[in-house]
Amino acid sequence: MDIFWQLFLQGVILTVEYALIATGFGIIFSTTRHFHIAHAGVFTLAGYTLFIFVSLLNIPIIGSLILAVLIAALAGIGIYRGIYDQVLKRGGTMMTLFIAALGTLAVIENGFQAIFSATPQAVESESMYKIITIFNGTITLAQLIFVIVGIIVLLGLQFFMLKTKTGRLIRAVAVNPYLSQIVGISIKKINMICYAVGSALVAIPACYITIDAGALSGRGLELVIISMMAVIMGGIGSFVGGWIAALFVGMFFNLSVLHVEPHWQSAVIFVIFLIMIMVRPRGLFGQRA
Amino acid sequence: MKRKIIPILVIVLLIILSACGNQQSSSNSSSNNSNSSNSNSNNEAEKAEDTGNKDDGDSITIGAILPLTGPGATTGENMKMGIDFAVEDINNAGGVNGKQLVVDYQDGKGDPKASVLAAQNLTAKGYSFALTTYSSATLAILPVAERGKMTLVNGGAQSDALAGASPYLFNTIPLLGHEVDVLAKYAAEEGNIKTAFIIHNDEDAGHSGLEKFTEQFESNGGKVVGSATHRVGETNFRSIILKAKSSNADAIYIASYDQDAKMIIDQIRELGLKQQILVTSWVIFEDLIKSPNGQGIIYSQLALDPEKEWMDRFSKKYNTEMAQLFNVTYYDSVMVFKEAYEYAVEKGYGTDGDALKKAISEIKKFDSISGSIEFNDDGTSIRPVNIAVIKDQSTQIIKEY
Amino acid sequence: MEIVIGFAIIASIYVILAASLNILMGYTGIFSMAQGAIFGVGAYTAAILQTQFNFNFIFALIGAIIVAGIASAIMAIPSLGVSGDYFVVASFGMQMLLFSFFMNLTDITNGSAGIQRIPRPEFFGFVVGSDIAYLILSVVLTVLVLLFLISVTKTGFGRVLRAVKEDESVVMSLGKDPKRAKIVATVLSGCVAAVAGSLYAGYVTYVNPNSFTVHESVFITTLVILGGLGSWKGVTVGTIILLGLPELLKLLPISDSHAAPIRQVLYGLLMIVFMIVRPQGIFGATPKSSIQVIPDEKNTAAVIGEEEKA
Repeated sequence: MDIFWQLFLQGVILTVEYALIATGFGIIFSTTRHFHIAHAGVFTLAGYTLFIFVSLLNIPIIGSLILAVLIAALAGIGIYRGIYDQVLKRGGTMMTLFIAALGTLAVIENGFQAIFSATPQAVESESMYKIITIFNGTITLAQLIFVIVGIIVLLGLQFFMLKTKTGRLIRAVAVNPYLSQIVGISIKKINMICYAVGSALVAIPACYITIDAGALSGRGLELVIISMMAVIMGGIGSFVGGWIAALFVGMFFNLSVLHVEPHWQSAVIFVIFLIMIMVRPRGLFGQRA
Repeated sequence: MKRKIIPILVIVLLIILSACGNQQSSSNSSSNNSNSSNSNSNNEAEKAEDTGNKDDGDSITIGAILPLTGPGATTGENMKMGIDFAVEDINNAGGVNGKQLVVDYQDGKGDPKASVLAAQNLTAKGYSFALTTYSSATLAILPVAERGKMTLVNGGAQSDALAGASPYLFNTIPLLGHEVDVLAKYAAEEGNIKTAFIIHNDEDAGHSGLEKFTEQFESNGGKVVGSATHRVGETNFRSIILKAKSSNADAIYIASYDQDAKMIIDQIRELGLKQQILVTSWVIFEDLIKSPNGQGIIYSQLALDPEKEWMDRFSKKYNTEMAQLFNVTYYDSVMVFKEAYEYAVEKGYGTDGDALKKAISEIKKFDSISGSIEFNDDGTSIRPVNIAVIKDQSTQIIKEY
Repeated sequence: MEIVIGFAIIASIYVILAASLNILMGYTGIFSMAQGAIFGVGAYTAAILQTQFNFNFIFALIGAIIVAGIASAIMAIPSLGVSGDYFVVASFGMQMLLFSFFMNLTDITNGSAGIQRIPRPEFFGFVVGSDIAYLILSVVLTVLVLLFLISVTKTGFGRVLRAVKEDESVVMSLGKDPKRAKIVATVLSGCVAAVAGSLYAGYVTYVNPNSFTVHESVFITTLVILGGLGSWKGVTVGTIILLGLPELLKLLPISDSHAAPIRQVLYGLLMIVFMIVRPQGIFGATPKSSIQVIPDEKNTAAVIGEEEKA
């Protein structure tokens, strides 16, 4: 039972990771319909930014975390305005944008690797590795903070989307961008907010993983792809759907380790996804296309 | 809906089939297709004649394929230290046959594909000798080395698949089986360890460790109650570590290396496991010994006792108190080249890969800065193995063999 | 000189790969991110047939083509029912699933250790051992593949593919089955990729999963897009240029471990710039007939009915 509790705790951590990345990608995708694969690059960028601030510039960890999230948000906006918008302005299609996104991803991932090499760069922080015990289960301080912050952010975001004016505007654009434009909503502004929020969201798990295992290029892609699957399985446009999918994936990866060989776990998730999109393409809570 | 049933069934079938096929057992050896190594076209013969080992004028160049980047970068650095030190000593003493020795470093990244490309680069340049490491990478470059007639000396890889893998390959480091035998035997007989769980990476060497340990441990009365594998470069080992914890085994044997091993050990401590950790020498680096997480780890130690004079000079140059395993094995490896080359020239064999491998086979026994190296017919060599424990930021031998 | 020959062999392998993806993306409009894995299926099959079952090169090649074709068919059937974005994610999933097979079916593929000692091809006792001989073999196969594909595009089937890309509903109204066409195109693409796979396995004499990751798929996609979607010139000349430029980097005194990521950065920058300034790639046709999402009935019917241009 002890083991089960520990695995459950680890599962919670993984769930929050996927939920944050998925929700971040989901906001951007459901509102803009851009296939923002460079989201994985923002993940990497956030991680290295944290490393630079903490280990190279010696800024205290809390400050560095906040800065990393802010810079990620700016990067997201930058990619949207500087690259995607330019592609679309000249008549590019969504697929053209996807290619540009792939290019952006390659530039970011490989750029960092060229500068920082393919060895993980450790983030030095004594405090983050402190061990905390909860009912006989141990986690690090970093993990605890991450989960708490993550859950607060996700709930806060739900509140933001449902109760604030901006949130309602975002949902309006997501449902019908043409109509929204006609009634005077600035699509560009809304998109920028989405990119900022989405990128900030992905920076949080990026920072946690960087503290846990060091900054390294290439970690983001598989996480983002699995998160995309979670978003689709949960239903585009539904936060809660995405969270449930993330919960399923996170718990599956951890709890099933006792019975499923670890290296088959990803394969199982992919198969479940493929079956899901054939059987119920709109996902758990999505609207019909 | 009917249309979709068939593809779903197909996918499910695929998964079931592949799950049946998957077991922990690994296949180390690939069938040795003698076709390839005998594909001597005229081209190779010509090459052997004119460039030999790239000695133009007053220098001789040898290749070295090491992990300069990637998860094995620290290991690669250690190896380079040993190589550079040897080159310095050789050149200060007049070089090899009067010519200065130069090393052409290639980044193998510890990855077979990158290493194969690096090896092709080296054979294209006509070198007749190269240093190599990492089991999967070494196995992968063997056909390239054979085609290009380049003799290889390995001072770091330990997979048992390397034994007899090629007439062009010599190993100055004992293979894993040798160490694991001692470790497993000690654990079962004197360590009071009845059950073990094995964590290993999914590479050749990891599988080698799994097999050898299981074999030795169980033949000495122990029982391996479970195992789990991981990809190299994984960041989160916690779920497989928890699996190890739930097995309630007395000890955990870790057959992984570099960053992975370090993180596995850190995460084991973090999760509060109380089981005894067993490893082989490839995990033991200075920062592990100095770290609190290293306390209590029992490991098989390749008995290394470098001559004092050498140790003093080495410490001074690199600002370190102890010599790491790979500093020694790679220093020795370069010295093997020097002796083989000079012998081959003296005997008139020439200086290409064939000549060098012939020389090594004939000399057989070489000096090492820690004892001696004797090559068996299958290219392997043996050093004595002790069992040691990390205690209070230092190491202590608990049993000598 | 040897370095140039080595480059030429690799270039021809990638020309074949780009061609295989071109049929899929350029002609049929299917955006697959799984080509790297299909390449791998071809390479692994050729490797296994030669090392475990002692097939010779030709039979191993045929075997690779068959297996890759079947794999593609299996992949195609479920995913073609889903549209655009979903399909891209699904193809990512396929890529990773196949990669998972390469890594974990250790009894067949030897896992991450890979398969070593793949023999060089042998024809009636003559072993293609030297690099020059291998280059000749590669070029011959490349030319055959290209001629084959180009002639396919000139048939009625080729026109159906182009029409499918423009607008499926028009295709259906003209009595052709777009789904069937897509499946055939996917299988064709897989078979061609298998040729590249066999060449690769025979040249490097070693395969392991790390050569067939999602990054490989992205790279092949880059070649096709930058070279020019739908253009055979783009597939050949474009690929050679794109592969060759970074080789010039090797002449500079930058260490190997920096050169590789820098090359990728260059490709990424090129992709971004091209998509903004010239989305049809170097040799692609002008915007009207390249990637189009908005259906265009007139164009589609015209494509099906019209005479072929080279």
